Amino acid sequence: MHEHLRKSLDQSIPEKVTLKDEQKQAILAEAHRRLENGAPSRKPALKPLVTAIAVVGIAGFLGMPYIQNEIGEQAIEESTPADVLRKVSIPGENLGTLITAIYVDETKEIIYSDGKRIIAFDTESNTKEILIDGDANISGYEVVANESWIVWKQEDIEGYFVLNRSNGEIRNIPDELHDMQIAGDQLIYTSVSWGDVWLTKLDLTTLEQTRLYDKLQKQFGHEAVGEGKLVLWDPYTEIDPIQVSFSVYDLQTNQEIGSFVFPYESVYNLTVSENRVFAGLYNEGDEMTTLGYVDLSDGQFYTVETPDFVSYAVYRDVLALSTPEKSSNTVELYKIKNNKAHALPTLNHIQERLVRPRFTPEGKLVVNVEGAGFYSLYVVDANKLD
Amino acid sequence: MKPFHHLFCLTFREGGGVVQKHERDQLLLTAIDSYGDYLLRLIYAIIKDEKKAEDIVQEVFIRYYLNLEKFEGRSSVKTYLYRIAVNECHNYFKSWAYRKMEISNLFGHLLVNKDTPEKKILQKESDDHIVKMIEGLPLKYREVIWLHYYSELTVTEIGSVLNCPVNTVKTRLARGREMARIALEEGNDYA
Repeated sequence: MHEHLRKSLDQSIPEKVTLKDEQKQAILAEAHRRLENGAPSRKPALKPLVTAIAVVGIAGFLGMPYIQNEIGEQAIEESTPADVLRKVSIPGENLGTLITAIYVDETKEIIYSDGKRIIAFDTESNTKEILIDGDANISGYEVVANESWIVWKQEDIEGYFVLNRSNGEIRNIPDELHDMQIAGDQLIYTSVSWGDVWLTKLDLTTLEQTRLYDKLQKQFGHEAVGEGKLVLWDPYTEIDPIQVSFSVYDLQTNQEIGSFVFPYESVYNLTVSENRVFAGLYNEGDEMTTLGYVDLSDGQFYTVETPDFVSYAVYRDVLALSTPEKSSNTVELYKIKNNKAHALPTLNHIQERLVRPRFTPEGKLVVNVEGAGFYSLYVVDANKLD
Repeated sequence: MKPFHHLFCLTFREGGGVVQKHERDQLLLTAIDSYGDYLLRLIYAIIKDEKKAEDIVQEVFIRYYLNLEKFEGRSSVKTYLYRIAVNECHNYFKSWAYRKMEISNLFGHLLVNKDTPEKKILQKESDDHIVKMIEGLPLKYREVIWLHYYSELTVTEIGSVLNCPVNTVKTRLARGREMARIALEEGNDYA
């Protein structure tokens, strides 16, 4: 429902409230004016000379560690094979369009929406292919994709669309859809119609719909899919200071595997990895968030010893954490051994701030760059990390 | 952002070279493209004054432009921009201009009990029960909900933006959601 709420909030603001090109230019012009007004005025000849010498000296002094750092960065980059860590830059794009980008392992593509179109960027040939040229706005949050299917919603157009990538056929499904997740040939989403709110499964090959769960009975129920399983939980029990329960279902048979609990008041980002369900956990007043999981084979809850973190993504034993760094944070990689996170050096040499870690089902970590390289992403193959 | 960027900025400030200015402009335009609309719409949602929202967003980006050299490679541009924006909104609520507008709105309402076309449009556009519930919350709950659900800031980022402990953010977020949910149940209307 997060996306639904975001959209509702967005719709409460008039559409016309956007930054026009002339306003952007006005900001730039005013910025120039203020920068120039704030610049030091001309002084007698000796002072600039002294200042220039000082600046060159300071620049040299400050630059030395950076030059050393650059050399070190180059060395680490050379020692990290390209099939483990790759930087992908898509000129002309920005963080706004790429923050929801999807990496498709089989085709080595990055699929994203630029607002009107759905585009596939081939990371091997560095070429763009326009997959969908929409008649209306397409939010990146309302696109899911894999090597076989693209599913998307267009603003103000009823229903949603399914592209079968093998034959190019596009179908319109007349259902109001929220919170899509794709798993192979199955689409899981929340269907809202005539006052009913159902968690629904669609077989993309046959277009057969199956109603799984009446979400009105558990308002704002959340779900996660992975490893052929569906996990359902209700985050709004977090005020109840006892525990958060969740249920696990087999996606093929729709049969319940079991119900389990996290012994914490609040949980977020439930993630299925192998036979474990991970979550970020905290109680009111906790200084740190805890990473924990329930092992579905024995039903027991375990915690993972980690440094302080603000968000996480996990694939098998590889853990990506957004860890605080000064007043900001960036993504670091870890390996979980004996329920303890051990740091991996893979991303350490990257000077840019990394945001929004997420894994593909096949184990590729994707992170966006925030900073000068707004149009770049890093892709790390977790299966090839030592 | 690479560390060499600091050197460019230093030389730019002293020498005013073309390349360095171009890089500075590029960083500003990239930030505007990435965050401009989100910031403007967020500010509008909080203060409900389009003209003032435009003024504030301009101020936010100019301050970013003037302080570019303060950014280290991993500093959060996003958090910085939102922090200035929220502070400017808080300042606006404390300002005489806002209070004067509140008073004139009050008198205007007493004198003419008729919705303006713009108000009708606004009413229509906010005709969403969830949003109405959130709009009814006190500012301290409303702003964390907007920052979290609309601007998609993490609780740590919101803590940094609002300059308050993370657990305060978590508590306000949880209470805000709970208060909205109570209203939702009372309204008995979700879809």
